[in-house]
Amino acid sequence: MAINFTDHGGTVIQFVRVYLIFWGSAWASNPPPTPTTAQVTDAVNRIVSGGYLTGLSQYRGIGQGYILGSTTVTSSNPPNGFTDTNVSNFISGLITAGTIPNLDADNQTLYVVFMPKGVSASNSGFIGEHTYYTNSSNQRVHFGWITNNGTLSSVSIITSHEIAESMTDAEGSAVLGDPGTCSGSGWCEIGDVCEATTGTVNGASVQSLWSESDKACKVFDYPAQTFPFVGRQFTGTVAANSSHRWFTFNWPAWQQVYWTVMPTTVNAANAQLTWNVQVQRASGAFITYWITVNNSTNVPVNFDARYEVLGRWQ
Amino acid sequence: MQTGVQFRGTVSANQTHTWYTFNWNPASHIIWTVVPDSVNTSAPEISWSVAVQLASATAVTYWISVTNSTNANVDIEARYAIFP
Repeated sequence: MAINFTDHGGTVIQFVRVYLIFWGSAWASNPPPTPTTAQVTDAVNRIVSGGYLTGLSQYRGIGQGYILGSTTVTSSNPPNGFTDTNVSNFISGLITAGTIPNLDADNQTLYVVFMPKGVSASNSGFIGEHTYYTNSSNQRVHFGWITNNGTLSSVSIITSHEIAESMTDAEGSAVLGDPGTCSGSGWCEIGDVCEATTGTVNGASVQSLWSESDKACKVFDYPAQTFPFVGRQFTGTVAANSSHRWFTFNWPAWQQVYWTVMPTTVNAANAQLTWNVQVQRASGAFITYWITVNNSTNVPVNFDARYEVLGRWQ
Repeated sequence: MQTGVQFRGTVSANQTHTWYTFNWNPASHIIWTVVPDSVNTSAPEISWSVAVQLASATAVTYWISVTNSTNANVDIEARYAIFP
């Protein structure tokens, strides 16, 4: 059976704010556990801010993200044989207590709960999962949980899988495999058909993801580019004593782009042009730049709009 | 080129907010850019300007003002690029 994924239009997370929750006293033990909370946090930071998520742009322009914060909860321990409800009640309680932040205004928050080594889910066939619950304000709270076999690479790989799937299919209604794509039960998502392949991106162990545009499992990463590089994006003419605004779109959000404007009409006497730049994140992955050019002379002025791509965002 | 995100914040609807970041090397050539972290599918969201202060012989403070031109709060991130 061929693998095909279709976007059914449900909720996705365009630019994820990951909140990490380490559940259980084992995370604060002395000596520290393997992996440590710091190691896991570093791995997740590498996953969300590196090139791993850039391939999700093919799915409704989904982008990358950042770590919103983290907390370690030692006042309780997850039960062995925990359920989704155990985890959602735990998160809900932390939000109510003010221990962790409530949803952001755009509901781009993803709470990820890391289990201590050796604690398993009620369904022992699952080592990680993402889902959601509905809070008292009728908002859907997206979360995932990650089991821990005591190795950083395993925790990192499971986390990469769950974050990518939550972004592309937060509620089981967005990017899903067509019937027959997955053999297992539950939401058939872009990580589920690629569990056999892993890799390293930005120093973190990750799992490959299905690329519908490539019809293959891919370990996404940044394209090979040398920074900085420059170019002319467009040319234009501004009428005398006037302003005009242009826009240019689909710039990768992970690129740092600086804009300048250069007249190509000679004026030996006076300053000719000023400009300002407005920025729009049209989706998680893509930026639209709006460039307004003002001509302060009494004749039309031709110009080049030039970009300088300085590097990646971080 | 060394690049990074220096800070993130939120600008209220139709407001301008100024942040500062200090102890930058006066000898470094730095370009600041700001992008929204909030998605808006229909309109430009922010613009920014940078003011600079030589706070001492060895420390520069940058003041970054971000203007939100929309009717909703916008999360932003301020990015730096340091030329080698």
